[in-house]
Amino acid sequence: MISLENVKKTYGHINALDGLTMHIEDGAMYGFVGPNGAGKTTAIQIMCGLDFPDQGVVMVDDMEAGSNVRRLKRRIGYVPDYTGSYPNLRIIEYMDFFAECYDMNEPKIKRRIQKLLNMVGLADRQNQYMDSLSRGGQQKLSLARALIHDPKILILDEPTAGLDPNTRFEFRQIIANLADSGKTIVISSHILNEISELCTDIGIIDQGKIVMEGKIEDVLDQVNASNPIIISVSGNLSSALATLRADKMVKSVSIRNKDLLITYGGSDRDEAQLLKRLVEAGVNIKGFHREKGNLESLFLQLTGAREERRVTYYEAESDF
Amino acid sequence: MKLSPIFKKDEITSVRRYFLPFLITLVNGCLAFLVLVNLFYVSKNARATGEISYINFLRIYYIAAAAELLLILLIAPALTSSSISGERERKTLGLLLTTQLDPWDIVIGKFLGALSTLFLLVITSIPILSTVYIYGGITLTEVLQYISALTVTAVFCTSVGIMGSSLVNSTAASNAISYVIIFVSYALIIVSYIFKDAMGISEARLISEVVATMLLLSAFMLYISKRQITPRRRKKSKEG
Repeated sequence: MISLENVKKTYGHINALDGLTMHIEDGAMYGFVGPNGAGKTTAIQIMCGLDFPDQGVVMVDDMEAGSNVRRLKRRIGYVPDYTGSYPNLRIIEYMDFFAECYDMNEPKIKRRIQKLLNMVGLADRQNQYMDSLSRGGQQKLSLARALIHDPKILILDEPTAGLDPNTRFEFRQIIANLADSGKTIVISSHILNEISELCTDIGIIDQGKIVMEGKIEDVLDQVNASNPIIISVSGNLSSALATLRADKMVKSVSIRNKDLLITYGGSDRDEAQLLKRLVEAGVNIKGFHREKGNLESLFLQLTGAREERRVTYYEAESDF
Repeated sequence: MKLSPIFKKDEITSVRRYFLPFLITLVNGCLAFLVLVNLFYVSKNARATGEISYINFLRIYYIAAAAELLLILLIAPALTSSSISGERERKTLGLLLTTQLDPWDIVIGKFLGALSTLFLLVITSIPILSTVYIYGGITLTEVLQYISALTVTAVFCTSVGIMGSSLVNSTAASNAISYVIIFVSYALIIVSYIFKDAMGISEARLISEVVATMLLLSAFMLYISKRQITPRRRKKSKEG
């Protein structure tokens, strides 16, 4: 398990992490998302032992990060958002070099390297120089390198950034297979579809703090509950608007393609009552449902859509 | 004994570049040129006067030896100034620090890699310096003293280069720092040598003190390099 408790980190006057608290269970595939500059890379570097927090406690597998560095590093594989290559080294030499950096014994090294290069599809190119690889190839090699010592935890920082869709798909498949093998995987990404497809858990970071964390389905359920109700009405809208105006739970109303979008603060029971009142008021209702949430809408809602929401309120007021 | 992976990797990448053969050719070419020019003048003088001055043969050795020392002073920082900053520029330093390697392993691996290149230069220049043995005049002790001086110089300059490289991110800035430190250090050594009598220090004592100081400083600079690349916990403030 990885846990960060009230972790703070500043660089000069910039608060990179401002009381970050997050928990990652063993065997979880944890999606770590947040806007640029939110503190994802700082948090990841602290988990990997490449940096230390100014305050707070970071535990990785029941060891405090920074206290037992050698043992800790043995358990973590790190794939940064860059490859970190040596252009004059062949692929096989690069892998061999990192195997030696992990002090692996000779007979084990060759078998392990072949297995990993096969896994990422670079076995037939092992004698080529690293600079002959495309960005996708280099990123696959970076993944193979991070797995050379068979770590229990794999941490990937924006691993698919800048990759073409095919390579991204292949990369996702490899990561999904690794998750099936029981590794704990932390993956930071801007590609929210990728996170929602791959991950079991999610943490959303903004301005150095976790703003939402949990199982991905629970988080999406919460999003659904906060999404607007869409009411499709045929005919005149005025009686529908009058009924909605009379309901104190209705916080805002806007019109989208002849549908009414309402932000509603009541419970499921209140929603049912509202529907009943609309029907009793003679409104011809074709549809009444809550808009389905996705990770993208949640991300925007939590981290960056404040301006957009103001526009919605403005529209609602004008419609009213 | 197991070779340092950093040393091994640096050796592989170094022999694959044209730089190393170019450097060996350049250094030995310069030394050979100096020796041949001197030999030419000695023989020209002998033809003109009918006398062979053995002092002139010794002069060839001293010139070549001084030139080699100067070349090492110039080359060592250039060889090492990208050792750590190059890893930073390639973004591989972070990757190395996530492995089982200790920051000391990285610094010592880099140090040994640069030192081995300098020793390669020294070894390949032995045939040129050995021309003096055609006529004699230089004792084995003097040769060993000279090789010791080269070794101390190589150790010191390599340490300066590695420290400069660990202090800054850019290779150009690292080069500048290293050359300034080396220039100031050797200027101080020369000044001390000139004023040794005024300071009441014998030549033997001055040399032994200079050698000891250079080796201690080298160890200290390697320690600074190690500290520079080690991720560190920031000291907590009193309120903290």
